[in-house]
Amino acid sequence: MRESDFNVGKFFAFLFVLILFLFMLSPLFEEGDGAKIDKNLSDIKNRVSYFHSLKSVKEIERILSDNNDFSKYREITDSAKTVIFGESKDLENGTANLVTSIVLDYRGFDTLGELIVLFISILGLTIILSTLSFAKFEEPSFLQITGVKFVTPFMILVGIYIFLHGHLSPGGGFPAGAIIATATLFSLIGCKFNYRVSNLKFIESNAGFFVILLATLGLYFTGSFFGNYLPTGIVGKLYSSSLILIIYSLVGLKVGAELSVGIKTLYNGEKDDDR
Amino acid sequence: MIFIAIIFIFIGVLFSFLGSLGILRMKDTYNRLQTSTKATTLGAFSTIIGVGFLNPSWFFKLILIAFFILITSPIASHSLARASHKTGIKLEENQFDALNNENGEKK
Repeated sequence: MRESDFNVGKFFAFLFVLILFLFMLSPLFEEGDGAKIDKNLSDIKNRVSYFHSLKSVKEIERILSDNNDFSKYREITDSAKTVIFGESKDLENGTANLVTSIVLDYRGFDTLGELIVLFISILGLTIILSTLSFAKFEEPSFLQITGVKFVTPFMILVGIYIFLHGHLSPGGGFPAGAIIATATLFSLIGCKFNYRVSNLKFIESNAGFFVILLATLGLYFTGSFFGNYLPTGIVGKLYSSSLILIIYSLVGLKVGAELSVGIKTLYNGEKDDDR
Repeated sequence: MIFIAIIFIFIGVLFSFLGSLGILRMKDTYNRLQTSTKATTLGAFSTIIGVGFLNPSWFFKLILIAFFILITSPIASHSLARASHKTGIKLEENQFDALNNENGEKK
């Protein structure tokens, strides 16, 4: 290893990643009493999923009449009997959108895997395409230039709106990232706006790093990866679901920057970029 | 109010149907583009206006949507037609092209 390759920043980054990795592996070496499942829930018939997997209505009614304790698992709230939009506080994870609470809370690890799959595919794309040379593109006409200049800021605005409201309405990080990447494609083709790949790489790597960092802090505070440790607000407000809002915003930024890098390398390869 | 809304929505549906019929009937790329985009612009626009008459509290949002359709649809059809002309797709029957020079070559 030459001396010019050695970098203090790289060394500390490697050390930090190693510590994070060991910390993630640490539950494997602890001697505990296994997974923390409530004794009431260890009976399968008391679980919510069992209730939903029953097909006939009559059987559900029979179980509800037999087992009165079962009814309490159907409610999400601790204090109130029903969830009221804009009033209920301190729910399980505070999202008004059920899909988001499944994607980023119950199955957060799966979403992290999807992020890594997208990252690896864009990595392969850029490595292969940066070795090729491309044909020249046509000059955009006057109509295209004016239209693109009008539409592109609104598209970026819609993308930011969608990932900020991922816990309230349909959408979320991935479609918002796709919309932002479409806006950058428009600006590249329509009015030759030459953005730098290095800035996008900075956004993408930092967003990915903070997603994993926040998820690992959940391991420290609550005992589970992607656990919610910040206060969950009132359902239906913008600042309601604590960690889900932050992580979905980071996912939107990461996906948008990643796809924009892919589009830029499809356009002219990484050669012409002035870094 | 509901009567006006129904008339607007009927006009929109009629124009959308005629546009889709035009895609089937026309022979050529440029004619198909013309039928589809013009008819779809008017169809979507009048359907949106009709829905606005049905539910007046949504009217501002619907005006915004119609405004964006009015801006983006002609630009999209323009760039499609421009790209197909640049790649050399020809007309079906009439070979005269005003963008070419006298000998029939591209400028």
